Amino acid sequence: MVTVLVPQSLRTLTDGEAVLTAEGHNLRAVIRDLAPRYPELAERLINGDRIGRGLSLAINGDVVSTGLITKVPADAEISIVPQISGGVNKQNRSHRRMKP
Amino acid sequence: MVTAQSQPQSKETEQYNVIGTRPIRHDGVDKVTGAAQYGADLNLPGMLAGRVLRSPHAHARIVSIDTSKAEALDGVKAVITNADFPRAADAEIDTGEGTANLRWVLDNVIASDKVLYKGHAVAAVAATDHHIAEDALELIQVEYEVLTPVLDVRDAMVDGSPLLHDSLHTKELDGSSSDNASNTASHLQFTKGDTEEGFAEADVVIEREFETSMAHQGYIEPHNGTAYWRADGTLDVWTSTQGAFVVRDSVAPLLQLSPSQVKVTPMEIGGGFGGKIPVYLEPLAALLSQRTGRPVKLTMNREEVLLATGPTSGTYMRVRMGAKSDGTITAADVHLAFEAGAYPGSPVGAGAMCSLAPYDIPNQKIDGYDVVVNKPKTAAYRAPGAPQAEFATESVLNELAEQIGQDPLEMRLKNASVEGNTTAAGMPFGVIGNVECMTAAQESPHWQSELEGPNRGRGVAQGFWFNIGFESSAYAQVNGDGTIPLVLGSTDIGGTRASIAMQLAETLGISSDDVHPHVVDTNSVGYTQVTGGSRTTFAGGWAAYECAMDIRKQMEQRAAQIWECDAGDVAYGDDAIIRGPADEDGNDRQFSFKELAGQLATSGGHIVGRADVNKTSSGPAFATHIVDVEVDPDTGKVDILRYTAVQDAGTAIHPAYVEGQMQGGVAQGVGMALNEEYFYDDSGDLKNASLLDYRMPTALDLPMIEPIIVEVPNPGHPYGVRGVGEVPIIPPAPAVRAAIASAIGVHMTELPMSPRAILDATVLDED
Repeated sequence: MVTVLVPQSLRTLTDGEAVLTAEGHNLRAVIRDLAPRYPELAERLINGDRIGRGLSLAINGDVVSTGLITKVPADAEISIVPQISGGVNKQNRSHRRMKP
Repeated sequence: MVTAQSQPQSKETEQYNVIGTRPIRHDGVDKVTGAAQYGADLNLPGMLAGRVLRSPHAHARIVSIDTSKAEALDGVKAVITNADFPRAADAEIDTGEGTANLRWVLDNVIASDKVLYKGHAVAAVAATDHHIAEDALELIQVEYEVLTPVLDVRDAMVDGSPLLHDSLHTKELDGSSSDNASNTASHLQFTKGDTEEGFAEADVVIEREFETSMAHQGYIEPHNGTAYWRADGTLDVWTSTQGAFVVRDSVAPLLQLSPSQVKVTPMEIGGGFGGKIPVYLEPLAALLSQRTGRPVKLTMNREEVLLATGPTSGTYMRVRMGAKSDGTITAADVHLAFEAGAYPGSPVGAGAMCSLAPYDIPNQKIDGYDVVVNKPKTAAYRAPGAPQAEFATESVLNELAEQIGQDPLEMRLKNASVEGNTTAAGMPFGVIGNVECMTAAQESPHWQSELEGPNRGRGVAQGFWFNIGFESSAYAQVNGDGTIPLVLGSTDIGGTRASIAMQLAETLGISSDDVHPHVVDTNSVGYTQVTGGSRTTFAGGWAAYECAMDIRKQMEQRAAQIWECDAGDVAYGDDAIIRGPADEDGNDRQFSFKELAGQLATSGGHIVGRADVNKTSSGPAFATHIVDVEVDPDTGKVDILRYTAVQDAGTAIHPAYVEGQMQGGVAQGVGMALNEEYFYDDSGDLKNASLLDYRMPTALDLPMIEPIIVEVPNPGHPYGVRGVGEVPIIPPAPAVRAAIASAIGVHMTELPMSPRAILDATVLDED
């Protein structure tokens, strides 16, 4: 049994639930296991054969680099995180400074 | 190569022969003699010179472009605009430290219907020489309908603000989008616990707003790109890049080529810091070469670099944090609005996830907004997003400590994240050196010393960065004399040829002098991700380790063949002696590595080791910095008197290069803290697009930065490596702010804390 931690921004897709449990030997299988209960979340997590756009999945704190086929250890914690990119006056302070 | 080992290995690396020593870098002689080949040094037969026409407006619709007069100029061989490129697919491509929409990538390379920042490329020319190309630019007639620019992140977020993209809607992480078009490209939120309950438990609550300016990576070498589109349809690209494969995978789809048709050769690089991951000139050079049938080279000047290549985000941030009187932090609410530049994709997500990571705070809420403005598209810059976000959170934490009357390091230790804690993003920490860095800082001679004198103050701050792993490759052939050319795909920015070669040498039990690393083109090595994310010594070293293990196995098999015994009876020892079972006369049988290497050619052929890895256990990095400053109350100038940087390197493969990364990160962080900013006028014209006016620190501005390396080995790496390149840029700004507050009693709220900003704040304070 693995635990899936749902960030606040995605809880609209889980009826507000923050912690889900699921079965599966890899990420795709875990998401498939979630799909009947949380179809909108499952749809958001998969984009064809890839992880959903703008998202990354981390297993036990390590962001995965091998996509949906990444193996999931028993009792793992899966986190859903945004993809990390590596990018005044109170109107515009630089304006104020450029004026003599 | 001469091995320099004037300093002893650390206690943690004494177990190794090569790791923890300080050999001279393999590429050192070429670099100090000027023999190293950079992109601008490249000259090919028949090569043309390219130049780019750039927008004089920050926001305008392109009504028409007439290139006919330029094309008619003697010596001009081709003129291209966005319309000459194939229509880009609405698809995401890998851009090294994230993904980007291909249409926006092309639009940033050369504008289509609108220009979105001053300096945005509009057309490009190839001519027989640079001067003719320059003249031709003046003959290109562009009619613009000038639009009102939006230059500040908060202005851009207001309803009714001029829109950069009519089709851009605010995306939430759950996939939903706003009904109306907006300059806010996305919003994300992380929560943990209940912040209102947490604030109710607090004895002290502090809320502050912060603003930070866009700042450039400031690499010495300007961008360049040379391309030759051959008659057989293949394309050669030579460029200064942090990721040759990312260039290939950006250029190929923009020109509707297969990746196999594009070969990218990474030239030596004069700094990148994240800014040399995107493509700018390469697609233009390629299309100009296709049009002319000749190689075309484009180079930027410094003004173009500052106008049109990715800085890091300017920001508006608001942090509210509460603590009990004993120093326990009970709640934090963080609001981050990051400028993405002209197209979506600021590092606000990374900033959000880093912002509170050093601390185990039970109640957290973090909101992040990615916002487009009429400034150049931001690019990654050393721990993208984290210096800004942690400037805000660390600054408020320092003020809380001050109000409670607690030592700021003690307060950090009281709340420090440790193994097993989970961030607001739900990421659990494994083995980390957060506490160890804080403790080493406490015990440092700097922290133990007294600071005396008027207008002087001391500050401290913590930093966190994820570090990443991902794909790297290493190929190595064993030569007959036992030397090894090591083939790598990672651009060497900070000494990674040496740090990767050392891990190969350690694993084989040979000298690093016998390993000769080479960075090669995309056709000559397996896929390798960018030199970025503090990943190269980690993942490249892992590839080298596995490559060496492959060699060891093959050497065992070859020895077994020679001795006519089972390979299982042969063992490659860490002393580089290959031992087999005794011979018929009972004599021990063994080869040294070099002895067996000498027999390879005649015993079945040479051996090539190879490894392609894709790793995730990257090992997060923490740092604790201490700074002493003196503030001149008459001018507002801040002098750095003393600086100590403590950092967990996991295992410092080459301590001198780790120290160099720490010192370089501090220098850039101090630049962000004290001087570096973009000055735009109301029209969006950048007024300080030169290194005379864009003020980066020099050696004269900084004291010797004292590095203290902490080594808490990363259990997710064969040698315990953690990335070291990025985290040292994070603590300088909040540490300097705290030191300024200690010196003159003023808590600054904006970066940079330039003399003018400090005078503004002190004069206002007096009023």
